Amino acid sequence: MVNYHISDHDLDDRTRLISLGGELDLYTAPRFEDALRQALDAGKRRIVIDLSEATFIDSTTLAVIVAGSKRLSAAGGELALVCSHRAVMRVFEITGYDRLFSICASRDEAVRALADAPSG
Amino acid sequence: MAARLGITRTASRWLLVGIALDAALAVADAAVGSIAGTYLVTPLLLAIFVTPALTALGAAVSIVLAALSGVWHDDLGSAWLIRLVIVVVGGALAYYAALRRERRERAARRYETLAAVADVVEASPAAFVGIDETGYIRLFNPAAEQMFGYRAREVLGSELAELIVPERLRAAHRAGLFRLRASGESRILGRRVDLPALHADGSELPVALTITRLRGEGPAAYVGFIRDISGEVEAQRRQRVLARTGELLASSIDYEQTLREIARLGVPELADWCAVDVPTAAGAVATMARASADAGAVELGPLRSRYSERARRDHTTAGVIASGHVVFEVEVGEQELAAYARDDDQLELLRELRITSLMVVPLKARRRTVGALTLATTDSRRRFSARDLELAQELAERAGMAIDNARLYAERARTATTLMASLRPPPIPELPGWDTAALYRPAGRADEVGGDFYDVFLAGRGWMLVIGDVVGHGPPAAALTSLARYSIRTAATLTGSPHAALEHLNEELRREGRLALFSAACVLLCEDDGRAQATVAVAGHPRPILVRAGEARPIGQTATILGVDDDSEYPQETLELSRGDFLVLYTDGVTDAASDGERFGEDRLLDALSAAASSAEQLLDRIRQALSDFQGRAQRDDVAILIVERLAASGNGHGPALSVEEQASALPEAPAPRERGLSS
Repeated sequence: MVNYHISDHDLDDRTRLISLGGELDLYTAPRFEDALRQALDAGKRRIVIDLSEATFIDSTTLAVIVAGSKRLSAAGGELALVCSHRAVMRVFEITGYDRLFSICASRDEAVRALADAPSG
Repeated sequence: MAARLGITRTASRWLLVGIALDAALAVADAAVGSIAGTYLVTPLLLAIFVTPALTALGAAVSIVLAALSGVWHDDLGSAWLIRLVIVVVGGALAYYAALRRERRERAARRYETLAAVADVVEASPAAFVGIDETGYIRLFNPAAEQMFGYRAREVLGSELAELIVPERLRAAHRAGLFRLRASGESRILGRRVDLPALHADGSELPVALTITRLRGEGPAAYVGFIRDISGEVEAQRRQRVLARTGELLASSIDYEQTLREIARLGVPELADWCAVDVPTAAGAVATMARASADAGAVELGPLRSRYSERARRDHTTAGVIASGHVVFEVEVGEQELAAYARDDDQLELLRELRITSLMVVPLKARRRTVGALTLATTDSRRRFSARDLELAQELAERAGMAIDNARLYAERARTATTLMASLRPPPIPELPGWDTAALYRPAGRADEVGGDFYDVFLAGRGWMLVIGDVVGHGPPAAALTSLARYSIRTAATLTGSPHAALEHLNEELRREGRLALFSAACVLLCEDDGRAQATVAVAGHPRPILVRAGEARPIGQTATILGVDDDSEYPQETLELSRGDFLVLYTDGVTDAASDGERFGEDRLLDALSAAASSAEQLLDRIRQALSDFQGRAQRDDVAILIVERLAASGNGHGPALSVEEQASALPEAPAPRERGLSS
C-alpha cells in the first residue's frame, strides 16, 4: 500500500517546495503534516505544495492543507498549490478549494504567484 | 565375570605349583637318596609360595607324613603315594589360601575408590551419595545427611531405592541400575537428571542428580552428586504462573472470560482445584469460574444458578471478600469444609473433592476487593506451603487488576456503544409520496461510528434530506458529527432552507476552537399542488445525482467545505421532480473506493445509475453491486448513501403541514427502519 512519496527542498531562503505524489490519504497525512510543520519551524513563509504527481487526495489531506494554510497566514506567509491531475483537481472543485487557494498548473507559476503576493 | 577369571587364573597357577612341587620332590629324592628329602622340601616350597600360617600347616603335615613314611619308606609304591598326597593336599591348601587372600584383598580394595572420594566430599556443601554396583549405599556425606534427614551410619548398607527414591519411581531406578551393571552403559551416567527425592520425613523434594562411575580396581561403584533444586523449581513455577498472568492482564477485555482464565491459571501449577468468586449486586457471593486439574473432578453444577436463597452468608469466601484477609488451611478437616461451604449441597460436593489443603486469597484492585480466589489441593500427598501462599497472593494481585480492567473496559465499551448508537443514522421516516432507501457502512467495526451520516426530517414546508462527512476519524470526528447533525437539524427545521442550514453549520464550525471541516449536501423536498420540487445546496461535498429516465447527472452547485471560510456562500438550486425520478445523495466513500490503485470515481457511479430502476432499493442495490464488483475486498472509507424516488403525489397535494411542535412530537413515531447493511 506504499504508493506515495513525499519530498521537500528549499527554492530560496523563504520558500520551500513540498512535493507529494501518489495516493494521499489518512495514512500519508501525518507525514505531510510533519513536512509542513518543519517548513514553518524553519521560518519558511512561502510554501509551494506540488501535487502534480498526486493521483488521489482525500479529505484528511485537505484538512492538513487548510490547517497549514491557516498557520502560515497567521505567521504572515502564504501557500500555493500546484496541481494538474484531473482527479485531484476534481476534489478541489468539489470542496471549493479552488476558490480558497491559488492553484497553479506549474511550479514556476506557483513561485511567481507567491512572489507577487503582497505579504511575505 | 572378573572375579571368576581371577579364580581360574589362581587355580591354574597352583596346578603349576603342584607340578613344580612334584618335580622338586623327585629331585630331592634323587639327591638325598631317600624319601626323607621330601619332608624338608615340602615346607620349604610351601613357604616360598604360600603364607606363613600355611607354611606352618604344611610343615606339620610334612612331619605327620614323615612319621607315616617311616612305616612305608622302603616301599617304592608308598613313596609315590605319599608324594601324590603331598601334592594334592599341598595344592588344595594353597588354592584355598589364595582364594581367601584374594577375597580379603578384594574386600579391602572394593570401596577404596569410594573411600578416597569420601575424604574429598566430607566437607562438601553439596550432597554426595555413593552406591555400589548393587545399589547399596556406601557413602553418605554430611550435606546428604542434611538434605535427606538421615544420619550416615543409619543408611550405610541400605538400599538407595528404599531410602530416597519415591515409591513410584523405585522400579524404574532398579531397572536402570540393572541395565548399568549388565551393559556398563547408561543414559543417565554423567548427565543431570531432575527428579523428586524422598526426605526422611516422607515429603518430597526436587533434586538434580548427576551420577558418575568411579574409576578404579574392583567392582563398579557410583557416586551421585545431588543438588536440592526446590528454589529453582519454585522460581520456574512462579515464572510460568506469573507469565501467564501477565498475558492475561494484557488481554483482559471480556470480564467473564477473564474470570475463567484466572481459574485456569492456578491449575495445576499451584493447586489441584481452583475457583473464582465475586460479590454480586445483591450483596452475596457468586462462583463465576472453576478449574480442576483432574478432568473427572466433581463439578459444582451450573455456575451462577448454584447460588440459592438459603445460602449462608458467612462462609469463607464471603469473609475473605469482606475483610480482604487470607485464609490458609494446610490441613483441611470437616470443620474447615463446613466453614467454606455455602450450603449443604456444596458441602457434599466439596467432600467428594477430598480437599486436603486450602487457600482463599482476596483479588484486589485499586484498594478494593473485587473477588476471592480459592485454591485447593485434592491430592492426598500434596499440601500447600508458605511458598504456595506467596505465589497465590502474587497471582491474585495481578488477577485482581485484570478483573478490574475487564470490568472497566466492559463499562467503557457499554458507554461507547450507547453513544455510537445515538450517532448512527436514525431510521428513515415514511415520506408520503416518496420511496426511500439508505445505506450506512462505517469503515471500522460494525459497532463503530464513522464520520459519515445522513438524516431525514421534517423542515418547514417539506422533508429535509441531509448527507454529510466529517473530516477525521475516531471520537473527535464522532463528536463533530453529532454537532453537525443537530446544528443542521435545528437550523433546517427553523428556516426550512438548505442554504440557511449550511450557513448556520458553517458558523457553528467556525466557532469551534479547532479546525473542524465538514462537507454536506442538503436537499429539501416539497410538494406544491401535487408537483414535487427539490432544492439543493452543497458545501464541499459530492453533488447529489438526479436519475431521470435512466440518465444520471449531478445537480446543484458546489460551494466551499464547511468550517474553512467565514464568508462562504451556499447557493441553492431548485428543480422539479417527476414520478420515477431518483435523487441519490452519497459520500465520497463511494467514489473513493479503491481497487489496485484505481478509484471507483464519479463516472462509474453515473454508469451504475444510468439504467431504469423500479425502486429506490433496486437502485441502491445497483450501486452496491457495482462497488463490490469493482472492489471485491475490504473498504477503507466510510460509506453512506441515501436515495429517494418520486412516487405519485401524496394525498393532500401539499407537503406536511405541521407546526414545529407537532413535527417534534411526530418524529419518535417514525416507522420501522428502512436502512439496511451492505453485505449482511
